[in-house]
Amino acid sequence: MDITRILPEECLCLIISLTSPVDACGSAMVSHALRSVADCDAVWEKFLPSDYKSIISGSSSSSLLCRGKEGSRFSSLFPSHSHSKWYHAPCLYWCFKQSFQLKKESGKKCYMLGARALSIIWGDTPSTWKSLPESSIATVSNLTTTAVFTLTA
Amino acid sequence: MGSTSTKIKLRTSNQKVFKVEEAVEVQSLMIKYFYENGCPSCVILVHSVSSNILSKILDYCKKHVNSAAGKEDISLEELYEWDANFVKVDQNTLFDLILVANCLKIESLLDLTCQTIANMIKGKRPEEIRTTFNIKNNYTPEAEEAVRREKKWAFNMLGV
Repeated sequence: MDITRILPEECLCLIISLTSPVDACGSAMVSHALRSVADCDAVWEKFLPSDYKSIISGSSSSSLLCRGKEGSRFSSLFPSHSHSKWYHAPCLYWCFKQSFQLKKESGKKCYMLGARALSIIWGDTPSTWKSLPESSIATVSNLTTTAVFTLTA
Repeated sequence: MGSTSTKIKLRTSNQKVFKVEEAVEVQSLMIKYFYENGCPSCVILVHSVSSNILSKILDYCKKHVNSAAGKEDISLEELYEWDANFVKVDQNTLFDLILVANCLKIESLLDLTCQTIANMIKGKRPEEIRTTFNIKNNYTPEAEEAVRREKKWAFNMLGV
């Protein structure tokens, strides 16, 4: 018997939220009934990191939680498939120093650090920096004068 | 909350009435709610539940209550294994367990059973999900194509 006729929506919601963003999209294609569950906010909110509210509140973008094509307003936090370059995807920026987005298949957090967010030797010297108009981050370090580049987390 | 106060009963849609055992009382948030709100002798209506399902639910609750209370010497790994075997049942039994767990708000059992169904969905193509759960595709070809376009990134990953 059809699962969507047996189980109430709250149970179907819990089931889909225990899969993954990819599986939720796959489920949406199964039938109208399963799509209305797979696209709902309750499901996509479960795919977000538990601290997503504090991440959003620190963001410079205010319109991230808009209802996107994929139904749930939370799915707009996941990169859009139509953009091949990940930095064009919906993401949160902090003072143009770093950006944040979710890995679409798993919902895991991805950060992109701008050079200004790093501690660089001679980083206070203006000649170390130049502006790249095509970059999504305002200024980019020109590391010609730094011989060793070590990154630790 | 003890065996002497067991006055909450379950009534199924075919009018059968079952007495609630103490272990179920402990695990069920719904029954706890009834007790806390001064209603120790209610009859809760549940979806068509057979004595077989009810006895399985009782097994589950007893196992978890005894394990939590230290009455049974069982490690966490052994309990996980016991849970894994518990949900090795046919789909209809699984659905019935979900319905009762949801109705009585037995959260750990609801999570366990729903995770079992979720695992059956993971990595499957829409066509395979339809077959597994006997769901009819009620999309028009145009609507299906629209969903496919909208969620293209996911379908690429699923190999659709």
